[in-house]
Amino acid sequence: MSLLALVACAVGSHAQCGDELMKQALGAMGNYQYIKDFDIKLPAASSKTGTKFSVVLNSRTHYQVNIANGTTNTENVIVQIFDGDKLLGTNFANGKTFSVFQFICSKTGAYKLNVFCNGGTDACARAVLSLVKQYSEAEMPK
Amino acid sequence: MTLKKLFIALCATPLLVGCTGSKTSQDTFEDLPDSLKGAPLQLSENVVNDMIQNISSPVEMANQIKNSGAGFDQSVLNSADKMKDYDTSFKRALNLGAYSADLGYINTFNKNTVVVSYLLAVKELADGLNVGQFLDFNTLSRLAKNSTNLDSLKLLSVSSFNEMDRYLRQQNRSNVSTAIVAGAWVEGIYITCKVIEQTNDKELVNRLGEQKDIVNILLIILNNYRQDANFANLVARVDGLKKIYDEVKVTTEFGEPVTKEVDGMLIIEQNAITTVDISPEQVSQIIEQVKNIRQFIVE
Repeated sequence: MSLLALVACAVGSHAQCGDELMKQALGAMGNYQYIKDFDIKLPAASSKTGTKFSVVLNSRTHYQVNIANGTTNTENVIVQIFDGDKLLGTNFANGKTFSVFQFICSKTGAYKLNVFCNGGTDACARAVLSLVKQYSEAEMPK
Repeated sequence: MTLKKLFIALCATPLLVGCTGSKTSQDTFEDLPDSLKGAPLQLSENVVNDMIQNISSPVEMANQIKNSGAGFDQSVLNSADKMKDYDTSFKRALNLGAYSADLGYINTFNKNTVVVSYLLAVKELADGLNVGQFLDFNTLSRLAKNSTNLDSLKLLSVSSFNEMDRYLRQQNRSNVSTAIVAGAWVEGIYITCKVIEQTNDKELVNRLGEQKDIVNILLIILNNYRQDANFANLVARVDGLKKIYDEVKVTTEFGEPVTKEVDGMLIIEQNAITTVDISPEQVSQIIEQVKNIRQFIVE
């Protein structure tokens, strides 16, 4: 069993907003390569409008985002990924909020992650960005 | 200590030490650069902090180098022994970044016999900047000495730097953070350039060309601190690099992004096609200018 798997086993479901969330997200990341993490704090007054993070993503690169929600969140956080003003996707799809999603990037540049929560109460989460795969031009999914 | 306990301790250590160490750092770190104290900045701390996030991770570049089939070459790294020569905060910050990129390269190639001297260099420079509390040298060294712990070593190395960066920005020390990020980016690109010189790998050349936007962002951030002579020198060199990149054409043909669920995994595909039009002469010019900037950093 890998260390990360051990972490996943070790972390219970009682994470609120502290380090436990980070461990939970790292445990769920699996064997992909950690790049960075986002500490998400959403006060009730602004939880529906949310908070933004910047991140550079590279072309021909497959990323994964794992999200660990605070256990006191009344709803799970929603993460949207934007290229400028263009919404590329979100972890809310098919009527459910996914705690993990992958993004296949085809343009190197600065992207925005917009994170919000519709619960209307204080919410927190930790999101971990990891590297799944780098494609050559020929390998890039069409 | 069991593996489980060890890893939980590892994850918690940088965060906990970061909290307890904040007062010390705030009280004692004031010297990068003195001339900036009270000087108006074109960009607010918040804007700089946001933009700093937009510099590529050297981890990804190191992976790309490995994917190209190039072998590990220790001679391209900044010698860990030079750490003692960096006696100003500006140089410490730049080379802390450079060594962090070297560390990423070393870790990517699983060269755990080399890693300890670089961990030591990083720790020394971080201590000199009063952010050493984020690097648990003993634990990192212990992980480095056991080849079964290399994944944990990679994770802890990168997450420690992220914690350090986050702390610096929270403390409104984004000038330090900027120098670290600049040093890391330049070192990552320098290693890439050295590999391109040897292999002329097309994928790496494309990656190099795609750094055009990142150079622009880096220059904007560095410009914010150009009242300081050290930063001004760096800005002049990065500006030279930007001028070369201005002639490189990077075009993107946008399609509609697609979201699909595959075996329970949500996958978002951007569906754009990026084309890099870069001549061999431009590659050579970029390589020469990157060497120039890197020399300024590590000398």
